[in-house]
Formats: sequence, C-alpha cells, structure tokens
Amino acid sequence: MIQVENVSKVFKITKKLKKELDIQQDSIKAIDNVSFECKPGRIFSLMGPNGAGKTTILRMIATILKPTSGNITVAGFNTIKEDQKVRQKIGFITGSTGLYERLTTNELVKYFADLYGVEKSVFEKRKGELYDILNITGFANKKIGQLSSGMKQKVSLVRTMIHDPEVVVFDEPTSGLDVIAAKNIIELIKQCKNQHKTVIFSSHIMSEVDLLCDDLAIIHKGSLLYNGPMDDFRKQMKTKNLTEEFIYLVETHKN
Amino acid sequence: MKNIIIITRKEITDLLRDRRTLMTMIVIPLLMFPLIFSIMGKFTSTQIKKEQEKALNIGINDNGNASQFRQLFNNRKDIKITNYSKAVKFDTLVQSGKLDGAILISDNFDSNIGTMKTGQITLLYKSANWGVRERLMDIMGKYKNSLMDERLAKLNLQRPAIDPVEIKIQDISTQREKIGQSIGGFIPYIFIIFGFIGCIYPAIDLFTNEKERGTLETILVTPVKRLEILFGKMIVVSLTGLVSAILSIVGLSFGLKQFSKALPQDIMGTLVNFIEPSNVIMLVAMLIPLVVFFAGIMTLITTYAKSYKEAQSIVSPMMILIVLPAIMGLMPGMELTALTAIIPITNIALASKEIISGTINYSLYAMVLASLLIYAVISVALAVKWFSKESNIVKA
Repeated sequence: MIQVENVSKVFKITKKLKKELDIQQDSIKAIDNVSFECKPGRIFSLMGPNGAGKTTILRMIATILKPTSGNITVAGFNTIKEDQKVRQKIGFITGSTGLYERLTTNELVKYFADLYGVEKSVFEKRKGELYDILNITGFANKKIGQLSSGMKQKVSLVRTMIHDPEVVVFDEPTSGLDVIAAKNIIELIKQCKNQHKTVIFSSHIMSEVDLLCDDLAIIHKGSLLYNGPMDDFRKQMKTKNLTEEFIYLVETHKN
Repeated sequence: MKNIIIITRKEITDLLRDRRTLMTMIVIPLLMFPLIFSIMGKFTSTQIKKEQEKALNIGINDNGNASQFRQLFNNRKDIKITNYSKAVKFDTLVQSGKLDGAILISDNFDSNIGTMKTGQITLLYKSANWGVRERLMDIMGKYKNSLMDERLAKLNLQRPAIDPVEIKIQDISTQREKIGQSIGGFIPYIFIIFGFIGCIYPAIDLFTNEKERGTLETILVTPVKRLEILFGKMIVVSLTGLVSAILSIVGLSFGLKQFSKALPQDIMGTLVNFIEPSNVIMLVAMLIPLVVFFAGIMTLITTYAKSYKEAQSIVSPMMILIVLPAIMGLMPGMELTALTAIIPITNIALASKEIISGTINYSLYAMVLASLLIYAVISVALAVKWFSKESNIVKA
C-alpha cells in the first residue's frame, strides 16, 4: 500500500542553474499538491511527459527525496519519520540505476542482501529462485562490467527483489532496453501483482501501460490530470486510443 | 555499525580492482623514491667523477709578468693554460664555455709581490661549472701560503704573530639532530602529500562516480542510514590515504637504504633509529587524524561535483593549499611552538621533524595531536552536513 497525500515538492534553484535556464525565480514547484493511493495486488501506473515530475514522486516514495509538504505512507510507515522501515519494504529500480561494474553478480547480490539484512538461509533460497526465473546462469561469477545490457538488467532486478519487498517502485524500467529485456521486466511486474505486492511504475510507453495497468494517474507539470481505475479511464476517453487520449489531455492542459 | 563494516568491506574489494587506485595508492608511493634515488645516484656519482677528472681549459693574461705564478701550472695534466693578450674578452670566452675559467694578473703583480704589497689576481669562472673555482683556488691558495711564509721569514715573524686568535667551532648537535633537520623536514612533506593524493581517486570513485553512474541511488534505497553510507565510504577514503602515506615512507626508507652506500654509516644508523617503534607510533598517531581530515575535505568536494572532470578540476588547485603549509614546515627557522602546533599540516610537518631528531616536546606533541583531531572532527562534521543535502547526492 502506498498513500500519497497532498504532496508538494519545491526545489531550490542554484545561482548557476538560474543562469543556465535564464529564469528569475529562486525555486521551482516540481510537484503541486498531489494525492493518490496504490493498492496491494494492483498495478498503478504513473504516466506523464518528460519533466512532468514522475521521477520526483517515485523518489519521494522511495525516501530518496523528502516532500516539502504533505505525507507519504508506504506499507503503513511514514517516509519521513520511519524512512528506514519504508526502505526495508521497498524495491526500487529505474532505467538509469547503475551497478558496481567491478563486482561480480554474486558479490553484488550478496552486498545488497547484507544491506537489506536478509538472513543467510533465506538469501540462498531467494537468490536461487530469482536466478531461475531470470535465467541467470553462466555469468553469476563474471564481473558486471563485462555483461551485456540485457544481463545487467537481470542483475538489477535480482538486486531489487532480493529482500522480497512488499512494495515495488519501477521508474521507467524499460527505457533503453530491447524487447526481450523489456519482457523480463513486464513478466516481473505481472508476477509481483500475482504475489499481491503493491506495484507502481512510471512510463510514457502506451503499450506497456495498456498491458499492465489497473489504476492510472496522469501527471503534467507537477499536477495530476487524471487519477482513477484504468477501466474508468477507457470508458470516458474522447479519442480512439490511449496514445491520442494522452496527447489530447496534455495538449488541452498546456497552461 | 554492522552496516558500516558491510559498506567498508565492499568498497575495499571494489577499489582494489581499480587499476588507477592501485597505482596512486600502492605502486607510485612505494616505487617513486627507490626509482628516483637509483637514477639520481647513478647519474650524480658518474657526473661528479667526470667533473673531477676533466682537464680544465684556463685562459691567462699575465700582463708580461708573474712567471713564477705561471710555473704553478707547468706539467699539470688536469689544467691546460693558454696565454692570451689583453685584447681578448675573457668574460665572453668563459660565458660561452670556450674557456672553463680565466686568470687575469695585474701588470704590477711582480713588483707588488717584491715590495711587500698585495699582488692582484682576478679569477673569472661560472659557479654553474661545478668544481672549477675549488680546483683553481686550491692551487693558488698554496702559492699564497708559500709567499706568506717567505715574507714572515724575511720579517723574522712566526705564524701566531699574524694569527692572534684561534677560533675552534664545535657542532655538538647529534647526528640524529642534524639529519632530523635536513631529511627530517623532507619526510613529513612526502607523507602529507601522498596521504592527500591517496585520498583523491577513491573519493572521486566513491562519491562523484557513484552519483554519475546511478549506483548511489541503489544504496540510498536500502534500509541503511545515510550516515552509515557516508562513514563506510569515508573510512575507506581515509584508509587509502593512510596506506599510501605509509607506503611512501616505506619506499623512501627503502630507497635511502639502497642509495646508502654513498651515505656515511652513522647517517644510516640514525635512519634506522627513526624506524624505532615509538617513533613510528607517534607518527602514525598524527597521520590518522590527518587523513581523516583529508577524507572530509575530499568528501565535500566529490559530493558537490557532478562529474569526474569537475571533481578533478577542483581537487588539483587544492593540492597547492595542502603543499603550502607543508613547505612552511620545511623552511629554516620554523619551529614547533604553541602557535605552529595548531596550524594544520604545518604542525604535523614540524612535529615529525622533531620526532625524527629526537627533540620532540611531549606537551607540544599533545597539542599537535589534539588540534589535528579537532580539524578531523570539523571536516567530518561538514561532510555529514553536506552529504545530508538532497541536491548533493541526488542526480537531477
């Protein structure tokens, strides 16, 4: 369960950035009074154009950033007051997260299991399961720097799931991946749903959203344009398909 | 605490697989001095020999007299004398290297010598040409002394008559003190610099690169506290600084030992003394807060920097800020006092010098240690504050 209540996030702008962007104000409101709820066993999709604030919201859920105002609760824990407990419950993966290239897959997975405090016996079992599902064989003892990007993606997934998180946060997880690698992610998201986990993912790829999404939020310039079940969204659509509807919504809310 | 150990252990494994870190932390500090010494040793010893054996080409203008003086150079293989007329520009000849030196004798030289006056000789040479002046002065000095003896005999005087006071100078400083003041100033300079250099790449790798590559985010979302992440990383940065500082000293003493065939036995004895356990403990006790201080500074820079290049461009000028106070400790006349004991870096340079000389004042040493600890704590506190700032650890 993730509850986002009236959350806003203001970023201070440094002098250097002010010059670069040629703007006058001292701060930018990246997220403006956003509320939504992600339920267990359902897949929540956060959709929006580039720079809409998707990553900022997901980072606040994952406790990397603190909201300027409002509250976020993850699996019953407040992200500010009980941030460590929140992180214990979350698996977080983004299209841009990196891996330690000088470590081997086994070393990296063990490192994160240790950081998450996974018990040794539980660790071996989970690692075996994840390696089986993702078909990690033959390269477990290779340095990650020598792996292909598809293999690296699999390692990232193991890293994210090694502590069996209750809530999984995917930030544009398939960006930059080929269809085969992207399929691994989509399978994993489906599997998380079957295991009754709470899943939130951000994307701007309509086919993914169409395939996976149970609940939808559309965000534009820091504010929500739509928040509700996917089925309801389909019913009220004014255009023929999702892509057109998305473009229509964003265009009509230009200002 | 357990998490800090997990992070420290992983970062060490990770860093030890990085060739650049291995080079700056282990290979360079360990091998630099033995290499420099062996090259320098070979070069200077052959060079000195060559200079000593080389026949000097000396021009002379005797102004038609001083035949007795000229006889000094007869039948000498090591000095070749050529007579020139007055019109020659000797300074150009010496300057251009056609002559190694020139001797100009005044036209009234013989008459002055004969009438108990002072005969004048001018010696032209270049101080850059090693040994020319010494070799010529040696010959002319002997000549001057023999003339002096002749005159004294003529006047019926003994040497003491013109030498009323004899001053005997005795340097009672121990060999250890002498070396402490010379090499002793050099040693802390070396380990301060290597302590800093050793911190650079690991700090950039552990802070800036992690942010750039997006790996920092992956540990920020684990239940580990941010402070534990910071401390785990800072311990590793401090350790690499410490290791490279210690290895530079090991390399230096090894190099001196190899080179020591040229050094007198008692100097070696002093250097061996310096490696006494109590001295080593006192030095390392100062090194630890020093490298923590460095690690704190490096954390500030590398956390702030957005890219590897930016980090490097800030760190390079920082080197000067580190080197300057270290050089201050090398300057003659600088001594460990209550004031210099609290100037960072200068204090450790001065204290090390005194430890090596065996003249350290223990209460001043305690002050140095205390002030280094305070600086270390301040830099760690700043690093903590800096690392807690969202904009410093999250990539935009």
